[in-house]
Amino acid sequence: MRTDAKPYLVPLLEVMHHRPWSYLADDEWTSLPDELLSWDGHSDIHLRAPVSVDLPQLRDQTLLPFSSVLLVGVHWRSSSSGMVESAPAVPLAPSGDAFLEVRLPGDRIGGSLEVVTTVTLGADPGTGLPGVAHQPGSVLLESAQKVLLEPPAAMFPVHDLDFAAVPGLDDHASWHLEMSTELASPFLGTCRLLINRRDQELLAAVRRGRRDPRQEALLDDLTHGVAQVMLEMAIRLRETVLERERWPEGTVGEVLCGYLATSDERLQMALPDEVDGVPAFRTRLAGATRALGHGRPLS
Amino acid sequence: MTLVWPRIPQTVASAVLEAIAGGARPAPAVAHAGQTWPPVGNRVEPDRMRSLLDGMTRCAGECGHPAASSPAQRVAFDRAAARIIREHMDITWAEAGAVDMWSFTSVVLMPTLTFWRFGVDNKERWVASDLTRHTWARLWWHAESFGDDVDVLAMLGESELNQILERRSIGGNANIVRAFSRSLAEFDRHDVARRELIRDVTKRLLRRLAYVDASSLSMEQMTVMCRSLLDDSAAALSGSGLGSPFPHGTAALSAAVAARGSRSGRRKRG
Repeated sequence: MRTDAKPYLVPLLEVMHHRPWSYLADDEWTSLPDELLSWDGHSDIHLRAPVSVDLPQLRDQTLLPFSSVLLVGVHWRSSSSGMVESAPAVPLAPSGDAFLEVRLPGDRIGGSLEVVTTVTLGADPGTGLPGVAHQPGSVLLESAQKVLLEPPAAMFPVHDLDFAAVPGLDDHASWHLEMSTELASPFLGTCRLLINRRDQELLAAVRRGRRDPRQEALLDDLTHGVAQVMLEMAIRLRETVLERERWPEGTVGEVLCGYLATSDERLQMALPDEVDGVPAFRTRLAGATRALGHGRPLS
Repeated sequence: MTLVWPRIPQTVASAVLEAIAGGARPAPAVAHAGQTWPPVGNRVEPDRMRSLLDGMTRCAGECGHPAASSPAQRVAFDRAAARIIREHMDITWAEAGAVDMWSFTSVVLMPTLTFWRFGVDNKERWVASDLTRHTWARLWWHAESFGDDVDVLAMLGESELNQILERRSIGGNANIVRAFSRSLAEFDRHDVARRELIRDVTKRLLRRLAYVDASSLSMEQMTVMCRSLLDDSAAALSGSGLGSPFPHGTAALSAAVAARGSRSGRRKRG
């Protein structure tokens, strides 16, 4: 919504001054950081922020009459569910000031959170003029702040399994990457790294804690391998991935887009048409993966 | 207290489905050798899972299970089962967005009911990817989105619900879902084909939501908006046409802008 042209006049962004959100932590209000990884996964999050709108400027730039009802509201979207919730919108004071306080229910948020404040039209002002907002809810001003509640997928969820017990998995393989090709689906919810329990050495390397050089090497190799799979998927799905300029945060599309969003000409490689093109493709893929920063660096 | 449920990776779920499709008898269970758990959260107890299975099995029995069901029985089952699954699965929205968890419910916990409801031909019903299509995920989200408005849920068919819920701009906001669904269910014009009406009005709603913050609307305002869009759709589809959206023309706007001395047109947005 923020990047689209509205079918009515809207004011310049500087008409609204939105202070950054604060959140309540241990009975104290603290500036809301970009990441809140200490969140326990279920507690409510309380936010507050002052907002002020230059109402004369707003009216001048939108041609809305003095009597227009203006509301300020807050809504938020979680990447873990894709759902939107909101606090009831309240009328903007004649001074143009508002003090926002919202409670985000802990059982309905997760992943990456986007908190959006809007100044909207509360009712049809009755001007009848084309180009002047008249639909209730018409967005005049908007401000968004993001906060990460759960760690991103630098390494995504890892589970160990007995590959021998699962048809479709080769029990001589060390790992298998499950990944959705539904680009709009949440990445964290649909991608899994499965480690074969038979590979105890790799399992030990993946676990947290101090690693010896061999374990570091195993982890580098794993990281490179996983990233290589994702890069190949991004290349194979390039056309669909690049159909959208921006995928919603936390989605498979966003992650794959990130792999393609580089001017590195290596990523322009075509898939091999013939089997004798496979070795060269694999080499270029391996090189591109390392160039993106995954795996053991070359000395 | 919300709980976490077991997960089953897509690969494992697909293998189980393949076995069932190949003739293996689906057998409900509360655990699977290939299952995993999320790293944090209170785990659901086996008894709770069995309670869900029992409740759903009873409900299915009232709708013809194990015999093949009629379309009316399937709809009746879905509406009743949505309430049962929501009551038994008190989970966070994040948990309800976990595809592996829903795969567990269909291939491990309730495979016989999944089989009865949808057969084995459609993998989406078993191995969760699109949660608006998964057998049990969709019912949980139906119950969650409609809440106490179960009467509205009962008035809509599966394809109508899909049209509403599959579009995240609409389906991702429970208030819009309720207002739009109720308006649709109560819309009593019969001179336009229902399917075309829903398709057309959904597009209109999406266009409106591109610049209207539905979160700022009261339920009454939202309902008025939805009904207005339905009227517009019906008028367009029936060929009676729409009035000009700009009754005063652009000349009046130009005059107003000139009088104010303001800039018109598109404003730069960050």
